[in-house]
Amino acid sequence: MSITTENNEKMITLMSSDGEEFVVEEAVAAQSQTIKHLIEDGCSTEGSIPLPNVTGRVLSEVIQYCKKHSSSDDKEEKELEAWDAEFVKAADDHVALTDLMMAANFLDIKGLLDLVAQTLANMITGKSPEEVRRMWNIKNDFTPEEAEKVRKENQWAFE
Amino acid sequence: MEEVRTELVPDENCLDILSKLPAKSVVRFMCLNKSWHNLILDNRPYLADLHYSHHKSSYATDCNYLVERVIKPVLPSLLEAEDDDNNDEEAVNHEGKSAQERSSITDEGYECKSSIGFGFCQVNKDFKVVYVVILYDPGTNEMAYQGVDVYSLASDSWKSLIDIVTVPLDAYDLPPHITFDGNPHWMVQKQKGDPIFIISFDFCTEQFRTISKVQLPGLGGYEYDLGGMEGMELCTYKDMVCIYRRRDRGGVRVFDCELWVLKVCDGRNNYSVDESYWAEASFLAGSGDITEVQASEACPGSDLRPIDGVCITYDYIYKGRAASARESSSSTKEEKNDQGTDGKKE
Repeated sequence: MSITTENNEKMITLMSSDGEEFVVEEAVAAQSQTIKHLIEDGCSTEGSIPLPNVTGRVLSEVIQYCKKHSSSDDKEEKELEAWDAEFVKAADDHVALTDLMMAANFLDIKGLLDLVAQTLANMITGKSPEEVRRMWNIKNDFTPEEAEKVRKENQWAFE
Repeated sequence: MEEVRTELVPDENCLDILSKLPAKSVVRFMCLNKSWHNLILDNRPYLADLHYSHHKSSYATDCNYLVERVIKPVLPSLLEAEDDDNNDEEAVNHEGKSAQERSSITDEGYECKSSIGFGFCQVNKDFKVVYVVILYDPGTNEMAYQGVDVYSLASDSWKSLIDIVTVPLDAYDLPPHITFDGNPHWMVQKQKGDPIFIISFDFCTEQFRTISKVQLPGLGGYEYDLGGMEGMELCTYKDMVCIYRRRDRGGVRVFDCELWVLKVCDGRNNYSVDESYWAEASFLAGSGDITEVQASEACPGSDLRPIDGVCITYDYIYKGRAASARESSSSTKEEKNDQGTDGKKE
């Protein structure tokens, strides 16, 4: 039963919300603190670990990230940074990034969460509230008077 | 709390994003809707703290911007309110004009100099403002009075520190400050020709500290050297405090400048004078427009940042006027693409 050789890494099966199954090495899956705890609690011994909040499309991206980050050591920091930059670029738009961020949050992968949050922050830094509302479908529920008041109080931020 | 929520982004993720934005953007997004507004208000200390660690360098510029554009204009009314509350007999020193002009003559014939510092206390997660007033007899240059007041955002109140703290060195002038590491820093000198010091006000202990004596290098006979602080200003560079001194080559579109970089060692607020150094940098007016450089010189605390070996100064007050400068510190003296950096901005 015990595993001794390097290549004999224990495999874990993850199942996305839409029923897609991913078989990954335990070390890769354990990049996610959530999954790591599930494994420790013995949830992976039989069948697959269900991840009801993450779709297959997002999960495959997350696994890509985890694979890269579990196989690289600190020496390759520069290369890893470049890889991260490419990775978020490939995610393309803010909707995909937002999905990715929510998955990173649920799966508790700090590095990925930071990376995606920073990317989204860079996207919206210079945007007006109106643009950000449109981007995330945020409904403006201020009355015109309230909106005016908030805006007045914070006028400097609009200059 | 189940009313209107952000459609796509859960609150905890909003905070993750907000913590990575500059302060100005965060404040602007309070207008998105009620839940963002309340989220930001409720998490102010948390955000301020995260912010502070994420944005140490831009934080300094944010602070300077806040002082110039937000605090200075409202300071007279804030101080009036304080005078009403305390019935302070020293109210004469708090006349509004001193806050805006930095230097004025009081009724008694004293010269009044004042300076405002803004920053963040990391212990109490509180934003604070310090207002320093110094009165001089212009004839003898003797200090007649100094007052120090501190405002705390958490308590929304002023308190006077008269007789509790004193400004080191009886500084004869308090040039505009910069905020670094959460605390305002000034460059001061007792008299022309005396040593120049950097002092700071620590918002956590509410005390002044003398940070360092400025080591002046050989001057090589530059004519501006009158023993005073002319041509020198405090700024931040690579997350370090430094002094930048201009060497004017008279009418040419190149400003040589020296940077005195104050090394920070073992964590917060500990400076090592021995490791501090002067570096040379040449400032080129970005688009060949000399006023750009002058504008950023006129603005204390413009942020100097290295971008691909090129120093960029970005001036928040004169927004958008960025001047680029080529750094030629120590061994690297590349003569490459000065023109290519034109117009680069933060």
